[in-house]
Amino acid sequence: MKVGDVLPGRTVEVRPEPMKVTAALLRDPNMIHLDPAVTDELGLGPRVVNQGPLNLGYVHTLLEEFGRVVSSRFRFHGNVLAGDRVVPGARVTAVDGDLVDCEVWLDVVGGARAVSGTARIRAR
Amino acid sequence: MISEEELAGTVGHSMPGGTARVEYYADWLLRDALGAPPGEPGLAHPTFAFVAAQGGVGLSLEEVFARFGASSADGPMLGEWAVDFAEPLRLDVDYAVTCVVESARRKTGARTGVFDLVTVRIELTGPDGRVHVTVRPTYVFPRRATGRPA
Repeated sequence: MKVGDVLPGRTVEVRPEPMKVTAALLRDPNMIHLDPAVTDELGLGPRVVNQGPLNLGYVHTLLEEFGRVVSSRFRFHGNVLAGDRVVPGARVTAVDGDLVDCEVWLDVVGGARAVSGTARIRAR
Repeated sequence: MISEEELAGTVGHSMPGGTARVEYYADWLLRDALGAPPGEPGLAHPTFAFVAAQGGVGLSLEEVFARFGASSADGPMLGEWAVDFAEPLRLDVDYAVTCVVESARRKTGARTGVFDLVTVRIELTGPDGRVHVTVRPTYVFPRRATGRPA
């Protein structure tokens, strides 16, 4: 890998079912991840909201294809909803031996950037 | 709304802490939820650091929010999240978890009004006594005036 390389991510279709498993793993009682009636009532529309850890998890999954994650920092910009299609991405910003620094992101197809950040991986 | 002084006074405070252990099936479930392939043998998906850290704080999320004079009804959000792996997170290893408030500051946005940013540092210490994983979530607590819609 060299500076400027883009690590292309695969498009993920966001579905409600994984949010249910994730709510259980996180012991997260927030019903906006589970019940579309609740999101509707809150003015978010009739689609459940993906958990933040899943959003950054798509980016980690991309990075894992190229190496072992050493560190990562993420900023959350907006919600990802059931039915959205998202694409993680990374661009190499520095290389030092087998350590590779990247800027990373998760974009909603046809929408806004949901997550941005930086990561360091130890390349394989 | 807690005062700015009270907010600043939370810095350095510890949560009860506890333990964390990533079991194979739980890692499998997270990978399935993410559409991720199997990882290196014996290692958890890096995002499991989120689950392990949060689960080891020793408080529910609602109790964490209450430490900062907030509740889920106030619409707290996760603004940022960071992880540093001194060692990869391993399956079926018992980690001791500690959590301390690292920073807490009040800000005012033109559009958002007053809000507080609170960062906690959660450390997962392995059986060798070294910190293997450090996680830093930053929570955003909107501080809306009473009576305004959430």
